Amino acid sequence: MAIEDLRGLFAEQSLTFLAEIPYVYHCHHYNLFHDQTIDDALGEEEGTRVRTAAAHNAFRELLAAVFAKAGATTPAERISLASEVFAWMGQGRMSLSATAAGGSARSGSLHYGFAWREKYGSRVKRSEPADAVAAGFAAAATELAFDLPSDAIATVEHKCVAARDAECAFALTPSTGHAAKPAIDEATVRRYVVPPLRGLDEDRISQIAAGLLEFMRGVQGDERGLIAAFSVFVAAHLPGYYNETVYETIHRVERTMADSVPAIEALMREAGQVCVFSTFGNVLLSPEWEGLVGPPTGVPTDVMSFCTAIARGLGFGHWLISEYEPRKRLVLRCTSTYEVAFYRSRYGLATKPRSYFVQGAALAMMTLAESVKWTERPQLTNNFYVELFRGKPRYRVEQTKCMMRGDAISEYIVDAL
Amino acid sequence: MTATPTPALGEAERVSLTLYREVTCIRALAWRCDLPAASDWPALAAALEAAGLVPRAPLGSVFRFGSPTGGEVLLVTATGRVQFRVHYAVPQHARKLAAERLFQLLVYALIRPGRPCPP
Repeated sequence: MAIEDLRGLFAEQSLTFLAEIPYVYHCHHYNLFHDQTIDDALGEEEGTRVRTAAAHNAFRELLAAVFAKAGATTPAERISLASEVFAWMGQGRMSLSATAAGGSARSGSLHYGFAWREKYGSRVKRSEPADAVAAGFAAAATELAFDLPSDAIATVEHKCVAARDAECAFALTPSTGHAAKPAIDEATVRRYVVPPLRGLDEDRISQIAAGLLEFMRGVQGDERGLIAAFSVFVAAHLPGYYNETVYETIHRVERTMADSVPAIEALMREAGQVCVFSTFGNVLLSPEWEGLVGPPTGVPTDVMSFCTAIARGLGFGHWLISEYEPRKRLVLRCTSTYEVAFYRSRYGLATKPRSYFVQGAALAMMTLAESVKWTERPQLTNNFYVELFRGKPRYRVEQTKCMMRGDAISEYIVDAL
Repeated sequence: MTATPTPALGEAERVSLTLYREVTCIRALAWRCDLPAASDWPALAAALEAAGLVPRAPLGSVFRFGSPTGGEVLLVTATGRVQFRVHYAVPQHARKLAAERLFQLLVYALIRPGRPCPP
């Protein structure tokens, strides 16, 4: 069975699945920033542990579902298929050599390590490895290949391309296993959406989103297991990874360092900003976008509609524009996001709005619509990002409704200051 | 004195092409030149294929070609934008040269359609 045949689409909610496990697309800027946020909150050692555990859990869910759908039963079949899935996702091509007692894995091209070296390698010296996601994947693949319980295998990355090693290398060792938590699959996700609503410019947004979803269906890892698209490295990724890292981190900070909560929440919102600035921005400036939609017009209402369509096209859920008054106010709503099902299933009802990613994204959409001269081929550099987002604040965002809290919809209001 | 016709541009007009870097997040990987939007795109696409580039499925109004070295050439027919993408595995110091080679293929396809580009 071809991997692409395992894809599923919940079209009316713009949610995508692989073997009925949710997946989305994110770029390397977001992925690196997200990981850095977790480390900033918890410290490098604990951050790495949380990120590795989250990847481990997320890939166990995905690979178990893939093996079942594909009828892969032997260890060799499963390890081979797991490696192909990982490469197809754009996470990198990994060589895995393992038995039920552990083993090793290596790769010269992993999404995180390779992209980190491209982005920072000439300016920043790094000593700690960058590939917690690949580490978690390797442990999950080994466990499932040999029918071991969750966490029966531990992984440590001891060489990393980001730390100037020639390749990334991982040691897999036996550990104490335990029962895995139930998977957050498509059936679970469907329990936590509400019927899609029509927003402003709905017909155009739906049409563009459908075109982008179709384009993304043709995107997959190359011979190195990487995806270079829209001038960034893109990877299909598991919401389970993002959600577990974010919510485990924020809950822990709330328990142990309550004074730090606002700062950590701000960082998590900023990850959403980084996503919109880098991923959405580069999509808007790409030849592919020109072919699908046309060159950017720079009209704020267009930019807002286009960003909403991009969010849907990347599998982020059914985002819609409820109100938009240029330079003054945006009301963004979601009838589904990739966060809700995870949070409600794992933690129950939230006590306050928790959709940090979309909060930051909404703020950035307002900024991109108002402050970027799209027709003048803007340069989406780090300096421009700093100029847009780290100077005097122009807007504030408030999440007024949250499906994680039990509200009927999620709503984000951005107002000019 | 009359200008030499450039077949793929479809008219006897002097056209100046400049290769310059697109500002991208992966350093020096994407380069660009601009052709008149009214160019004869099917003729240019055929000439690029004859020059050894491999056509890929078009995307809307975008012609896409792969090069044997992993590069890519995209022709946005609606706007005239041409993007040259160097493969990310090419070392950073060699990316400009790789882009210039793709640009050279385009120039030869424009002025000498059907004839191979010298190495």
